[in-house]
Amino acid sequence: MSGNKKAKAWDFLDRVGGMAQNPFKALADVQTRPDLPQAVLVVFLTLLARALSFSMEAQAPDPSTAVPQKILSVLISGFFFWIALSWAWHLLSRFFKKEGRYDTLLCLLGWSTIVYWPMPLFALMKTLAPSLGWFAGGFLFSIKAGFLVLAWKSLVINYGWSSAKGWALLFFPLILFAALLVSAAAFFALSLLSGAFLFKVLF
Amino acid sequence: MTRRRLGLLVLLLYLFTLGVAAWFVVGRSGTVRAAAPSAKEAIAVVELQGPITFSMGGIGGMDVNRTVRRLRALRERRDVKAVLLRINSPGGSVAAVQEIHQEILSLRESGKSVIASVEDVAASGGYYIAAASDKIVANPGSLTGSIGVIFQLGNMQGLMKKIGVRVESVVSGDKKDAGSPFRPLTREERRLFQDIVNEAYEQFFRAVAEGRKIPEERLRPLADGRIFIGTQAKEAGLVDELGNFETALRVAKETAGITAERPALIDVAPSWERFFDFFTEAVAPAKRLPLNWPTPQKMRFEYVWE
Repeated sequence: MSGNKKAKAWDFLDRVGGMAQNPFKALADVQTRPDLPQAVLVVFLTLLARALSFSMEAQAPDPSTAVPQKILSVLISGFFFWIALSWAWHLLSRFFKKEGRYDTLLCLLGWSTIVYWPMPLFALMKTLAPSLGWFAGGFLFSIKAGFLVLAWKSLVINYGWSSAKGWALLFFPLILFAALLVSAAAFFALSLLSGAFLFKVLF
Repeated sequence: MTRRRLGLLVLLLYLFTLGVAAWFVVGRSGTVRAAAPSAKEAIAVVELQGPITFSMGGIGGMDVNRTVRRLRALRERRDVKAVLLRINSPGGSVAAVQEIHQEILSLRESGKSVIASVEDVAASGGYYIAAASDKIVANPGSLTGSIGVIFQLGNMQGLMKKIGVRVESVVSGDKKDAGSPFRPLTREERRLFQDIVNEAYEQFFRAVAEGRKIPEERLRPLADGRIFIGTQAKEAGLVDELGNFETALRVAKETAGITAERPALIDVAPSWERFFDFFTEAVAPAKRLPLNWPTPQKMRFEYVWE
């Protein structure tokens, strides 16, 4: 391993350790020295963990659905979600005249996803010991909540949002996204109903 | 502990967790076993999901041509000893159903065993296809049967009158616009369509009688369009065994004389298709949509359970 690569590997390990020790401090370090390839690697490892958790038999009992395809789906949609969500937060911040770099936010959010790494362990626990489902479910919930906290911190340190506004901004695209989903579903249901109604009238 | 050591520990723990999860997922997955191309004895799984028509595009429904190509390709594969059809379909248009039916018969002629495994529904055209296989396995609660033909016509005369529109047809022969939605059927036209329905029904009836080896006098009372739940269908001889996918696999192994304890399973759907299914199934459970969906191309003869 060349000196440069070795230094990068140590830096990566340092950051992983930092995220385990003091995540807020580690995020501040990421903000001062953003490294996109590192963030991509973290997101890739996270999505791998998520994809495997998703593929547990209790959640996907159909044996005819191939695991590689499930993993591929989660990987692609996960990367897309990471880029799109960061972009939404970045645009909103810029709209409110906040300074901050998009690539830095990508790095910060990428590193924030590290909280998902233990996910397969709890998904496995939930699958193998259903009686411990509430316990594993609690941990899975904490993981998701942990990610939101780190994402909030990322917005605060990258754009200088106050704590309260950071929370508001954090949920704004998620609410928007949920609203879009709900309206799309409502539109779809309406079109089905009107289609069925028209069909009844016409035929 | 230094940050670096902690980082290494976290990474190792992550890799260990990932490894255990991967081992668990891969070990439990039937399809990953399928990835072994060197297997000498394999069972191919072909999914027949949704309405069966030649319709172009749209979400849901199966692409008949693609299914036929796949079945044809399986004929050439020496490692494939049996083909397991996973059917979940209320049927479809007459010719589309017959296209697949014929391909299954050719598959059997080529020496492969074909087993139909019914999911929720294999009714009408879905059952027509199943009847071509060596054996049919259905869940006790699966719906099947519905041996019959349906041809529906809309009549928009009342509506057109309300909105003050009249459609005039200029035709080369008096039967050219038979079935037009802008006027009622004449008695002669009704007889014409009835003859076609009767002929399509006889084709269906013969296919089931020959495929299932059920004497005509015993099948005729069952072939009045009624559906059967799995247990009733077993009793009536329309299915051979009650059970799930695993049961169908066992039946496939027995029928094809496969000796391997765990033969490779081949999922014939390519990866990209599975990938897109992921999205299409997310936006609409369209493969479960009934055939009486409002569509301008509704006028066709169908083996369908409505």
